[in-house]
Amino acid sequence: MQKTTERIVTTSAWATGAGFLAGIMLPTSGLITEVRLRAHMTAALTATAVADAARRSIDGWSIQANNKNLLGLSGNIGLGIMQSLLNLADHHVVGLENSSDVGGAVTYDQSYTFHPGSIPSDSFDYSVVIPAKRWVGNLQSSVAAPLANVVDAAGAGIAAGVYSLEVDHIKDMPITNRMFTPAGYCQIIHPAGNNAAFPGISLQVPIGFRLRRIVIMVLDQTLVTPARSDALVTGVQLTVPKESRTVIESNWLDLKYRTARRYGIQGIAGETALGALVTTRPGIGNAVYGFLPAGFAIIDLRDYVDTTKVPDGKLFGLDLIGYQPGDILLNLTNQAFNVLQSFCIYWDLLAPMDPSLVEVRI
Amino acid sequence: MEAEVLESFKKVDGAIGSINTNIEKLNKMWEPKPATDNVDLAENVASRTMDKFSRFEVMNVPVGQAILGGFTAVMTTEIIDGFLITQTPLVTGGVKLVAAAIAGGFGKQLLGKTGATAAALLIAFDGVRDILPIDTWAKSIAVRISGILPSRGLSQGARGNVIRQVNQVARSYYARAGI
Repeated sequence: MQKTTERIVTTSAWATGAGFLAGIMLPTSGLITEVRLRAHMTAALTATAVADAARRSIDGWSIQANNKNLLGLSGNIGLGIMQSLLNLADHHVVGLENSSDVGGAVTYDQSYTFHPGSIPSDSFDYSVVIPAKRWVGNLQSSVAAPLANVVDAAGAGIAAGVYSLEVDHIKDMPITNRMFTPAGYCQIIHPAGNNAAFPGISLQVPIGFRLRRIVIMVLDQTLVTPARSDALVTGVQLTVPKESRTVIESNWLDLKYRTARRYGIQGIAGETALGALVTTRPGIGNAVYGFLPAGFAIIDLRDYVDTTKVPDGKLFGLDLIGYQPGDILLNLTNQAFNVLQSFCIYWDLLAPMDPSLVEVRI
Repeated sequence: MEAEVLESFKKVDGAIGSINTNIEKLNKMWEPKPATDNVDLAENVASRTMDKFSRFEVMNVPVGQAILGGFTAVMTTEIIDGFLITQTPLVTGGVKLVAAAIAGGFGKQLLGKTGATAAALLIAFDGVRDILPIDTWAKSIAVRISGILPSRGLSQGARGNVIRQVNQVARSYYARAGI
C-alpha cells in the first residue's frame, strides 16, 4: 500500500460568474481518499466587505465519474460557504490563509477539503473512497466560479483567481465490496410561505444509499451575497411516517448549538462582515468575540443509528438501501419568508461499491 | 441473589435426582416381558421398531431420538400446559417433572429405551424451565448477540405468541435502516 499526496499541475482560472469551469482530471492510479481545493484570489476589499467573503470564493464544487455523482455542490448559491463550514466542523480549522485586510489588491487563499471518509483526521482513511483507478479518463473535478462582487458589496471585488487541486490517494490497494463511494449532493429549497407548524416544508430524504449526515445552511434574501441567518428556519424534524414516529424534533437554535458541541466548533470571529470587524467592532473588552456560525447545522445520523441492527452505523449512518421515497421525511418550519431565501440541504450520502469495480470480496 | 440461584440449583439437582430414582423404579415396574399373546407381541414389535428408529443418527447427531422424544415431550407439555393453564409455573413445572419420570418408565414400552429417555429429558427440561427463569437467562444472552428476541423454544405456547409480538416490534419497518 502506497500512500501518496499528489499536486495536480493543471489549474482553473476564475472568470466572473462563469459557473462550472472546465473539469480537471484527477489522478487515476489508486483510490482517492481526500481532495483539497485551494482558491488563490486577488480582490479589492473595502470596509463593506461582506460576511463569508473569502468562503464565497467558489460557488459550487462537483466531482463526477462515468456519470456518477461523487460530490454535487451545485446551485450557484454560495455553496463554498457550506463546504467551508463543514470543513470547520470536521477538521476544526478555518480555511482562510491570509489576513485579508482592507485594501486595493488583497491576496488571500481559501482552502476547501472534500474528505469522503468517516474519519476526517486521517486523510488516507479508506472507509469511503473514490475508486479512481477504475475510472481512468473519466474522473473530473469542476469548480463553479462566483461573481466578482460576492466578496465586497461596494468595490470591484475579485479581480483574479486560480483554483488548484491536490489529492491524497492510496496505490496498490484492492477495491473491496465493503468500501463505499461518496454520493452526496445539495438540494436547494426556496420557501413559498411561512410554516409555523410541522410538517411545514417537507422533504423526502433520498433513499438507496447510506445516509451519514444532513447538513443545513439557511441563506437570506440578500441579492448577490445572501447571508446566513438563524432567523428564518425555526424548527427541524425528522420523521418515519410508516411508523408514525418522530426521530428528531428540534428548535433551530438548539440544533445549531448541538452541532457546535457535537463537532467542537468553538466559534469564529469572521462571522461578521470583514470591514465591520476590522474598523468598527473591536468587541467587548477590546477582544474579538467568537461567534457560532449562523444559519448552519448538521444532523449527524450516526448518532441515531441502532448499531444492533446496523453494526457499521457508527461509521456510515443509516442504511436506506432498499427503502422507498417518502419513507423518511425532513420537515422544516420557517418564518419571515421571502422567495429569494435559500435553504440548502446537503445530503451526505454513501453508495455501496459498484459490484463491477470490486476486486476483492471480504 | 447468588444464594438464591445456588439454592435453586440445589433444588433442581434434587429434583433431577428424584427423577432418576423414579425412572429406575418405573423401569423395573414396566420392564418389557416376554410376549404371551398377540397384543403383547404387537407392543413388543412396535417398541423394538421405535427403539430402532430412535437410534437413527446423522453424523453422530441422534436425529431419531430427537424426533421421537421431542414429539412426545412437546405433546405432553402442551397437554399439561393446556390443563393447568390457570396454575402457577411452579405447579405446572412440578407436574411436568412427574410426567417426565412417568415417560421415562412407562414410555419405554411404546417408544423404546432411548426414545423414552429423550422424552423424559425434554419434559423434565420444560418442567425445570417453568420453575427457573432459564428462558429469561438464555434469551437475555441471545438478545445481546442477535438483537432480536428468540421466539422458538421447546413449543409455541401462549408465551411464544407474546414473544412473537415483541419481535414484530423489534423487526419494525425501519429496523434494517437502523432508525
